[in-house]
Amino acid sequence: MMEVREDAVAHTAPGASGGDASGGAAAPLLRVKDLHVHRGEAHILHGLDFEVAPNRVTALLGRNGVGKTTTLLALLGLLPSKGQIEFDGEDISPQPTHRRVQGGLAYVPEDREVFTQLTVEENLRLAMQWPESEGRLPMVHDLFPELKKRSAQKAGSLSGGQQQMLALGRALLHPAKLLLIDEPTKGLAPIIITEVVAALSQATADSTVLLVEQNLRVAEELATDAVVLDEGQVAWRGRMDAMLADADLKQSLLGVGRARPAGEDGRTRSAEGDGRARPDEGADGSEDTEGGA
Amino acid sequence: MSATTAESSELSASAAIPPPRRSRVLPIVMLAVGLVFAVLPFVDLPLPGVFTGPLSSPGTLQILAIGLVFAGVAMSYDLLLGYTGLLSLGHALYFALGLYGTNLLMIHFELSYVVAVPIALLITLVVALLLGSVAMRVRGVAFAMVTLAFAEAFHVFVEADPARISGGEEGLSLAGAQVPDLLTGVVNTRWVYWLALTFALLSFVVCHQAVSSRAGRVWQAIRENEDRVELLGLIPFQFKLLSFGLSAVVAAGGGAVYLLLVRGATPGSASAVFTLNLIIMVVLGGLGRLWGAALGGLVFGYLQLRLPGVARSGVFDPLPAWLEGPLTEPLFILGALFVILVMFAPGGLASLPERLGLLRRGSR
Amino acid sequence: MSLQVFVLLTVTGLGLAGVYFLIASGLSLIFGLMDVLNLAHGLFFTVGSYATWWVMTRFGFIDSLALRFAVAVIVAAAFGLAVGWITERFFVRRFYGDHVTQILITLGLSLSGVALIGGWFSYDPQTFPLPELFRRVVLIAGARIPVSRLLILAISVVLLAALLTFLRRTRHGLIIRAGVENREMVQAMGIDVAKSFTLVFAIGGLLAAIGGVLGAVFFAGVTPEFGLNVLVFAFIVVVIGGLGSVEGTALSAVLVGLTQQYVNFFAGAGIGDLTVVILLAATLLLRPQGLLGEVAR
Repeated sequence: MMEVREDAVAHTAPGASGGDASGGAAAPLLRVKDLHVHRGEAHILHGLDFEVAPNRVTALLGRNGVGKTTTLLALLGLLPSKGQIEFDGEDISPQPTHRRVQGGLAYVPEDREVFTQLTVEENLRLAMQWPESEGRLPMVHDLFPELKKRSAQKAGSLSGGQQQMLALGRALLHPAKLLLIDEPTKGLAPIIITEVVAALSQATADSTVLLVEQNLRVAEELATDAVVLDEGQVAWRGRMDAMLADADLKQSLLGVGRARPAGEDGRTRSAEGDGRARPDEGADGSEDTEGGA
Repeated sequence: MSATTAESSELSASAAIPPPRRSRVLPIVMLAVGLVFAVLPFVDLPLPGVFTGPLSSPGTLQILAIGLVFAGVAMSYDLLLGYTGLLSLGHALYFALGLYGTNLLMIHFELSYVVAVPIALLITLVVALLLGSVAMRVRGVAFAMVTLAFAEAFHVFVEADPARISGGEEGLSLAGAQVPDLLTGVVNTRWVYWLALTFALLSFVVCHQAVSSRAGRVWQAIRENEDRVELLGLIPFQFKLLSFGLSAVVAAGGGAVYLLLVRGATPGSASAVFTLNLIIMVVLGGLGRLWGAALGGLVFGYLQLRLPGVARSGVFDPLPAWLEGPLTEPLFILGALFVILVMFAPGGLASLPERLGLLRRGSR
Repeated sequence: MSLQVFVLLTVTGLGLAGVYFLIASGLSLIFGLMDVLNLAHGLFFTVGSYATWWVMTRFGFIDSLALRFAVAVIVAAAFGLAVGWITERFFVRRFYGDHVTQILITLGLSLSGVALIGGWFSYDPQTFPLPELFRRVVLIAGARIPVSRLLILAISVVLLAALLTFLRRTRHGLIIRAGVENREMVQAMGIDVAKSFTLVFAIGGLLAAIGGVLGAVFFAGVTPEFGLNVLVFAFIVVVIGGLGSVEGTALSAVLVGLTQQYVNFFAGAGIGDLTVVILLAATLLLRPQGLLGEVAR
């Protein structure tokens, strides 16, 4: 495991500074070290290490159930965790959730979690607690005109896509340093996905985002960097395009690209308990793309 | 997360249901304690300060017998709250059903006590299963509110007495003619005391057998995580209802013995306050430990009956009035003690030896 | 039945509904926001009724009984606010996430608080003088309605309106409504929900204490254990109305208050109370989430 991480870091850094001259100079905005999460008796995250570079979109990828949502919840303090979460130069792990958010995190949860009993306007008003929020409201309304039109409507009566826009708009009212977005396209019709992705790429230009996304195409469109989780650990880190170029990597870590269903693949692996084989694959994969790039 | 769901569904039933922790020492200790209690009526030892008369005096035996009834009922409540994790606020109903039911059967149908008690227990069981299955439509706090409402309905019913059968606020005095002579009259207090002791021991045996049976282990699994028990293919509702019914019947048994002790049935026995007192007993002693609940019941019964006497004896007279008033209220002292215990010693009295390092951790 | 009787029963039932609403609304909000079953809520009620008795009998320096009653309402509200605040801040707060311990603590507070009041003022019912105005009657549709009943009704309606305005028009209210639905998401928006917890307890204490004032007028006296009796019906009102819904609580309070009055009058004392419990059982069987509740808990 150590081996891979060093390797991945080694080639991320040149990639970041070389490929993107404008954004690569600064230190990472978020640095996670040895993050562990237990839920009941289940040990879900086994010591994650990763970083999120400023002004870039980092995709957090992996199969269903590897702990992506858990990672976001732990970063927010909504789940108890062990380990270090260094955000903007400060270890925020002892802070309660609301402090972390006040410190510059914003969150768009999986399944939207808008307040269904409140109106659209009230949902947004709840989020307007920062000095900058007033100035950001027109931007949110421009981005999602639907929200302005339906401001008196109960959020519970919105369609899935509209609720997603509300959840995004709510987060964008916060002048956050880091946006945590969990599966923004989950359960949406393809045509709505296009709309949401367009709005997302517009809204997240120049901001720092950690994005959980199952839909690889969406991740590809939005993200520049990728962190891939497997079995509660970081299996691969690097540039998004490098990962996408590697079919073996995609197949082994994300279960895409072959006919075999992901679930079956995953089960075989865990049954063998081959904790070492995958990191090696990951390392191989990254070396390959390094050569290619 | 889907990962955890998958994991737990793969767990075998034996891993999720705790293995039996059948203590071999506990029954022997309880038997020994029972023997000591059994010979108390023959001990003429005076205990000044602790009791007003010698141990064998009817007054002292009366206090001890009430404590023993409370101990038995508290164990039945521990079955619910401590072992199954069901917060019922209506346990007084079942105690009162035993109390009123037995007395009413004796008065209106002229049944003898020994016949009336089993019928009253049977009625209690039916009522408990009916009301329990309705209340279990909701979980947790709502369940607590609903059970409380059911019990309070009965309380109001016997107090308002619209059908003119329960004696209203005054209650009903014991139908003495239907009770065996041995169990009536002050001279026979020792026999009622032995009956109370028998009830307490029987309650212990029943509850102890129940919690160490397979069903008892499922109860404890439900207490820890009800959804998971469901994932294992078991139906929590059935097990919860079993726990509810069994504890109701034991409580009704306590009510039937209490009837002889206080020689009547009053609406107070059906009130929410009685249930709240039961919670105090069980938590005072330590949730999920039968001997703790029994101890809590005994201590509670003793304090409740003795504190007013202590107050009358003038111990608190030198205190200013604003302090003297509350200190003569048993419930003030018990309630305050309870809050302190819950806040600072969550395991109750039963955990104190462990906390103070007198017992090895984990030995129960 | 005659119209006069019907009107009198209705006004009385609505007055009772007002008392139930004042105690049940705080209970419902506390439960909705924090998942805490506050058994000390009956104590808040008792504190309010004893504050009334205390002011009405000991504040002889205020000659006008009407003025004394106004003072009593303010004193009761202040006591209720303080007791609610203390309960959350020093007892409940320490045990977030541990619902059983929270319930046990409020239970202990409730019992020892009642015993404290009983020890100070005895368990016997106490009566107190009421302003002369309260004892007057007005004729409504031929029925002689005591002014006190109408006053109880008026104060309850005003407080319902005030509570709804607070919840709908202020930022604190917005946070509370959002928190009732999804506490964690409110935190994830950078809002310190714990401040709302204290606020809701204080508001609940205030409302229940004013409920205690009105209850003391309604039942023409105070006893220490009365709060617990009313609490039982408040529970019923909360469950029927739907946990966390103020509007549902108001609706259900009216339903319960009227049912109880009508049935008690026509079928005999006690039967009305039983009917209310049957109403509760029916609600649970047909609509476990309550009248206006969104989700079953």
